[in-house]
Amino acid sequence: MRSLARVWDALTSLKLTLVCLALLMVLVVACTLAQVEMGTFAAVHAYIRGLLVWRQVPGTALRIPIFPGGGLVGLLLLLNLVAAQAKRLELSWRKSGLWVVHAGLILLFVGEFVTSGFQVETQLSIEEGQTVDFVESPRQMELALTEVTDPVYDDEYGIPDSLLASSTRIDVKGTPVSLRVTKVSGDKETNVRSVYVEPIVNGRSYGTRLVSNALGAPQSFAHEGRTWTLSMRPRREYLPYSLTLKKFQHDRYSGTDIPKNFSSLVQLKNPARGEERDALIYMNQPLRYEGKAFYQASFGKNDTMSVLQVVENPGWLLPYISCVLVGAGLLVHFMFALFRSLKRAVAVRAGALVTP
Amino acid sequence: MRPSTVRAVTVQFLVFALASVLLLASGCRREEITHFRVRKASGAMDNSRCPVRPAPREYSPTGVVIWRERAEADAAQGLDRCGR
Repeated sequence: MRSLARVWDALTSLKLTLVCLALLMVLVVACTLAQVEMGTFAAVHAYIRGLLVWRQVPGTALRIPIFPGGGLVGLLLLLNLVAAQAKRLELSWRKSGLWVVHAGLILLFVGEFVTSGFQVETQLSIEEGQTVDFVESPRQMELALTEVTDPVYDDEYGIPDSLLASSTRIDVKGTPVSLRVTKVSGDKETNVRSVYVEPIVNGRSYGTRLVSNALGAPQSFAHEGRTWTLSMRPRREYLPYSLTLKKFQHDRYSGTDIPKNFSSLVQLKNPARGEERDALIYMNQPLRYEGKAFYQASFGKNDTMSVLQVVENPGWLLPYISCVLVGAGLLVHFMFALFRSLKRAVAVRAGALVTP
Repeated sequence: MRPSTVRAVTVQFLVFALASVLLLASGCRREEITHFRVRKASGAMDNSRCPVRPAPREYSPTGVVIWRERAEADAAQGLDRCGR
């Protein structure tokens, strides 16, 4: 019981808050510096998202933890906030502002955990005049099994990379096709992913195939009048709407090559809603549509191709709500303090007038 | 209601809410086989992608050989790797 009380005291202490805040500052600086070599995604993953920061011992394959990661520090800080709020703050109108401030801070941390757990980042590359109705993951691959028998529609089944690596036989639901995975290999530097698979339809084998994004063409096989293809590609998600790039603009400061602005004028078409409208996407002004935010990310092909970063984050609103809560909480708290102070001042003045 | 009861209920509620969010965040992302029925040639994003060709025969032992054979045949006819 005494040890539990100690843990509770430690968890609610202000020292823990300060230590966690200091650790977070160190992590932010280290992560910012690491982005030069590792890139933004890898650095954030290594320093901020993880529970521990790992380093490889030179000359060995051994990895050891060298620092608490942002996930662990954030979790401790979150527990500290919740525990301190429960222990110290009395439930009264006088302290209601501080309750709201704490709730806002807790929501801010919860929002970060929701983001790290649920945010999905994909890309949409589109050339001027093209219409695209899907997004692709720049970091995940999939084996696409496509039935191309129908003259109008294709049935595409995407088997994630992680499933290929962990399974030896995959039954593709909705098709009579099973895939026996013999070997999976990949090269992160060249982003080449290859897999040896043996398609089996109703017990009949169609031989072992090498499927790779380096081949540049799909494999195909036919069974009783039905034709399937196999290809390796970035993980794809089709959208119920499409975007057409009408114009990509790359503005420069006059007389220089220094970029001033990038923008994509797209036409959004959603047949299900009968919607057809133009939207201008430019730096920090994304197109938000059906839970996805399309940001201007990159460009290519002599300024005729635009690359949009597509972010789907169910917790995107939480930081905004938490900021409003913290602001409102501080306002309420200081209003109470102001009223108390004014009341005291009035009482003192009244006392001074009464005293002879 | 006594203040201690209110506090106990508050703590339990906060801890429960926190644990639920963290468990959801860590355990709910699953990688599954996806299925999309799409109109043909809707893929305009990957410019290296070739149109699908019909299968040459019902059974082929190694796809690589087939594609090399096709590429050589296409090159002989002056066609690109997509057979255009």
